[in-house]
Amino acid sequence: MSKQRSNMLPAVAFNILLALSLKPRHGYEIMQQIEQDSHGRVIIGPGALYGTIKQLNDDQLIEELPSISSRRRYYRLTKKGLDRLGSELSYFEHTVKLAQQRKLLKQNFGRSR
Amino acid sequence: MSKLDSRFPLYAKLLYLYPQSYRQKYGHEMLQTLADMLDDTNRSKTGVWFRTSLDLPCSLTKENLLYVTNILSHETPDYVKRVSLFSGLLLLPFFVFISLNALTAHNLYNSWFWIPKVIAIWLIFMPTTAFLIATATFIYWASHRRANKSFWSNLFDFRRNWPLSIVVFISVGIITLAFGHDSVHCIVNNPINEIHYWRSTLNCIKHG
Repeated sequence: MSKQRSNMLPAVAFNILLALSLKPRHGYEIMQQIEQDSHGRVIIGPGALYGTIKQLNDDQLIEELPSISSRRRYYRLTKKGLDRLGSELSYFEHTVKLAQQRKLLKQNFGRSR
Repeated sequence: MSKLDSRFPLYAKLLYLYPQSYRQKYGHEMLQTLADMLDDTNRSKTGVWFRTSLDLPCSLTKENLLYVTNILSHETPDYVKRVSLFSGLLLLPFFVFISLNALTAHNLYNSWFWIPKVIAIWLIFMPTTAFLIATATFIYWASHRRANKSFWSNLFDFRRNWPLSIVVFISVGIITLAFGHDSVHCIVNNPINEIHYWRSTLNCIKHG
């Protein structure tokens, strides 16, 4: 389990893959989608965004689309990126199921209220 | 200068602190994204600038660290690594003794490594040796590097040979500090002379 945890994507990288799962997007659209998906919990600046995009591009999890606009670059998920996103999501799904079995989600919800 | 460069001149200038390859690929995109954020009426401009001012130093540090680590593992020749390590070790006593002295509330002034002869070794001789070795290796690297660059561009490419650059800069700092210190008013301005006439220099330090 510890090996699987250490191989997991950082939060920003995961959110970028999630944002690109719907359609190809340019940098600012990715940023907006991340904020929307995380209900404003994940807020990133241009430096963190493009640093992570570079890393994901180097790892071939995303790719740059042939130029649509001269001003912006668009990125899309690759097959490898989609598989990676799937494995991350299945881990989270397992974690959420476990939390539900242990009634942790309900407890935390009760506390926050 | 592009339209975005002139709109955010300071941010555009700061982008030059990123590694060249990163800046060439993502510099314009970063400016465009900043412009998009500021043009978005749902966002507060102060918030955008606040977030950017936090994001930029973190991102700069991360990208430069990745860059230098990558250079060290893929481009730096073994002899540069070895010389950097050796000359770096020559600087170590300076930091150890100064730190120990500071930690013991300057009680080490009476100990053996604070006698003038020993001071001359770790304060002047060792940093000067480190400086000479590192500089000579840097010049050798600059003249033998297999890249389509001139000797002079290699010589000033400090980031590509950062381990030696760090040693050179630190040793220059130590030597400057040594000669600027109030007890060194009697040391002549040439380290070679200072080593050559070490008896009179040490006598001068001892008696003020």
